Amino acid sequence: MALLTIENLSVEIEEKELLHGVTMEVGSGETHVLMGPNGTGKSTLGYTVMGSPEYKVTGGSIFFDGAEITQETPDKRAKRGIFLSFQNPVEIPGITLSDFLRNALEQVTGQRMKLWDFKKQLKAAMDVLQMDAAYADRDLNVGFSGGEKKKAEILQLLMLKPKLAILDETDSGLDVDAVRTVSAGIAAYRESCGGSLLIITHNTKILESLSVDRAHIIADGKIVREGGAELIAEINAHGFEQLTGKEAI
Amino acid sequence: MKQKAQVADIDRSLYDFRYDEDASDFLSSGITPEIIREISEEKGDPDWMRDFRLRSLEIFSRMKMPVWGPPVDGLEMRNIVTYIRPKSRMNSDWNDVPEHIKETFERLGIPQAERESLAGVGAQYDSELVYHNVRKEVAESGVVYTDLESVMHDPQYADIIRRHFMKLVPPTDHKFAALHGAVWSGGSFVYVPAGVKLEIPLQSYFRLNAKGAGQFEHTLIILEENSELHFIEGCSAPKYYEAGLHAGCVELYVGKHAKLRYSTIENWSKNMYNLNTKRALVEEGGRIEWVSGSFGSHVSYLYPMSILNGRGAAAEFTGITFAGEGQNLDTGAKIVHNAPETSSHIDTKSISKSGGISTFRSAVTVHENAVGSRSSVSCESLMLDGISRSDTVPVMDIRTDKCDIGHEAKIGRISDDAVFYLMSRGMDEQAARAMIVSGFAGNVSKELPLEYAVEMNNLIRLEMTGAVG
Amino acid sequence: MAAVKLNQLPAPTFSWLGVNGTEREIPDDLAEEIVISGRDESVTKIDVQKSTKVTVNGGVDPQLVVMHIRAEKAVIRTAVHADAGQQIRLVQIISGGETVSALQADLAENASLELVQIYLNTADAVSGIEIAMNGRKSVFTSHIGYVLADDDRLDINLNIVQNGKKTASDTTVRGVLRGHAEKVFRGTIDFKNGAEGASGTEQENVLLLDEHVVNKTVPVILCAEEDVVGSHGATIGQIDPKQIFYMQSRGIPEKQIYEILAQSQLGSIVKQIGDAETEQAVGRLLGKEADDA
Repeated sequence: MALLTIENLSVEIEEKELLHGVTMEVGSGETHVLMGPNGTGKSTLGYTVMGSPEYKVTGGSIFFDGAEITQETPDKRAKRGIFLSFQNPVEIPGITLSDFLRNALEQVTGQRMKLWDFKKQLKAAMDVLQMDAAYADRDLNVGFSGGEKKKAEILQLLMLKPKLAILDETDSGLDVDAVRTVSAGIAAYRESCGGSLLIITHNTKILESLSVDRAHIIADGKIVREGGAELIAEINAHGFEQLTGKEAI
Repeated sequence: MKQKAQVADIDRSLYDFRYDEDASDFLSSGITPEIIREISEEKGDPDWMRDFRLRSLEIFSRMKMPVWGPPVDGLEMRNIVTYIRPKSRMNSDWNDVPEHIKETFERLGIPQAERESLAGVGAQYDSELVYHNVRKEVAESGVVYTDLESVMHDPQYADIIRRHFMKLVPPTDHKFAALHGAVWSGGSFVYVPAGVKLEIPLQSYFRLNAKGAGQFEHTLIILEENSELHFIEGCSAPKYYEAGLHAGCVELYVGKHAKLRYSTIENWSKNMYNLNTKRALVEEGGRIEWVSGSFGSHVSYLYPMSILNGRGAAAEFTGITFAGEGQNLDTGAKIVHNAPETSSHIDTKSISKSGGISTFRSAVTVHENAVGSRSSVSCESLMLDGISRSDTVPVMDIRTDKCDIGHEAKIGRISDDAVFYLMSRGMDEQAARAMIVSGFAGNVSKELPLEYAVEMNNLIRLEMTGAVG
Repeated sequence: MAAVKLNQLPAPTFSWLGVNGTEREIPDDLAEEIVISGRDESVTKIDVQKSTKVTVNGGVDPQLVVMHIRAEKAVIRTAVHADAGQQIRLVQIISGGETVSALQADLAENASLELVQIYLNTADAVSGIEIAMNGRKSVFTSHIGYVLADDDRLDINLNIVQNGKKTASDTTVRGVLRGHAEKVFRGTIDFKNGAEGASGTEQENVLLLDEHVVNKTVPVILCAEEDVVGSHGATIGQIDPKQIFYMQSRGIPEKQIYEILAQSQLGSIVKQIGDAETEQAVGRLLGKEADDA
């Protein structure tokens, strides 16, 4: 059985349906990409798999690692090994990135961690992302630039080592160097635990350094095409219009 | 959650706790000059102090209750009489302390000996030793740290006490200041000579638990020029007393270019009316820093006042108030800019939960002579449910043009997005909310010494997990 | 005539500050009554020179009512009723002598009231504003400006009561004090229990230009509902020395800089009047004030 199975999923927010019967699978250790024009339901899918209470599942089911999780709270899903890198992570004043991460790590692993070991791990992960060590002692995401927030998300990915990482537009708003750094972080994650990736994006730069197993194209809340890595090249050449009847923004 | 029932029970048991009054105490319905004379004699007051007490009583009897703020009509005046009768109530037994209080101490990680003392039943356990050790180190630096009652008789300091005692907070200030003047008992006196900068914080913790101290204690601190002190009052374990009124008074004299930090984590038992008065007078170039956490009490009136009396004097107030079930906590700060180029900063957070009421109240006044002064106020309130209440009542009274005054207030609730974000990293909802609230309180915990910050965070966690889930 | 308590602060505070309310003697009867009905005209301008009771009712079209209040001594009561979906813009220019103004408005579902008040050298004005936002999604926006000098007195008490769900209020106050002028502004946002999704903001900016002015600012938030967002801000003080330096470096003398900034302080409020003729008239009054100074 696949690691993540989405069956005929319909989702609404404030009584407006955003996903209409989406079905897809992500296997263990695989890298998938979910593409499509803006506002077509890509992020909705990511949020719904993570269990955001804002999005209401009106039909279908989600299975992870052999268990149905459709109604589970986000923390339970996180403990099962799902991770969502947020497009706009919230700011939490008063809690340092380091304290937060240590707490999350203990929650997810269920084990207490020695401060020294934690600090060593954190330092190593921050080095991969070329993050200034001072960020560890800053309040979570407070006053971080767009690029710093993205790096802080990937830092958490590296530390938490989930089975499945959903990256929601992690490349958007980043300059070339930052995309390279973030890509290195993603590669390090793959290397460290062989986790699966579901990359949500509307441009393909971040995919250059990754070997994609499967691509899914979404438009108007439905999966309209699926295929191998060759689909990405097709989009690079022709845009979304040909595939979906819509222009990419 | 396992903790839920236990925490809820603490509150009830406090209300239910019986105290063994003598029938004789109920015979008088008020405090009489005879009672005051009796107290005074018991304490061996000098004559001037006895007269001061009697004059204060007179003022007390003619002053009116405050017309603003939380209701105090639940306050039984005869309970006060009960308490102030000069006899020891410290001879009760640790076994009599309710289980739930004991459990709270345990969960806060307080050692057994300290628990007994906090519950008001302890003998002079280890803290006496600690206190003596502290005193030795302090004494070597020339600092005087002792109790007010005995130092009144010390020829070296008697005059200093007489010149400063209730000069900053006169008995005419308000009804409960007058009461304090009449019945005060116990407390600390600290004198820091010019140029002495004390490295270790002094903690009244050890003094307040001494026999007979507590509810009407008086703290008098005098810092001479260029000296520095950090004074810590109280701790986060519930101070446990039988009677329902705390009317303490704190007077702080900060000399030229001296710096005083005064930290308090107040967690009186939740049957207490806490009508406390704190005031600092700051001379040229001096600085007062207040760090204040209010968690306990049934009703609180607490607005530490800083009078900036010399050029360049500065005040900083950092506070947090957490009002839970049955609590009406009215807290804030007062700043008086009474000299040129003075500056003040107020940063407060308040949290309301389970029907609790928290009110932030402030007064920033800038007098005509305070040219070139600056003041900024920032207060944030968090509503944790729809049955609680949170009010913000600041006043700015500005009487010079050469100044810069700013005020910012915000009210809201925990954002769903923040909760989801934390849950997506593996925290359950309760833990996520508790973490956000701890972060919200970070302004105060960052200012506290580590062990106090840890205790305060434990306290917040306890309050947060008590009613959720 | 009897002394009446006015402008009571909804949540009283330390008595020694003297901001819990004020008192004035006011006559028992009002001289005149004017009723403005939404059916008549969409723009109404009235000149008020004696004690008057004005009632403003909303109509099919958005209503604009401009009141110029200038009297030696008068009591002005204004009642505004905005029924479901009605939009009213009320402009009150208050100048002159001893004025007691009491404005009460109630807003029904989706109703909106935009209030512009400008106080120009009021010798002694007491102005109470009570806004009852009972209707769901009702909106209240206010722009209040004042210019006071000499021994002018102004005492304002704005009380916005947000009862309805998803109600939104937004208040901007800008003022200039000079001479021995004294001003009290109490602004309260009162979120009642049940006002889910309500929001309220208030901001006061006061420019102090002389050493003998007295400014009292009391920005209150009362809140008995979890699901609200409220904020308050105030900045009080002198002109930023950097602004003065910048303008001086462009050749403008210091005295003129004060006038320019004092005028610009109210500029954004005047722009909200929404009636060109009145905007020009107020502009002239402000300019005249500047010339006199």
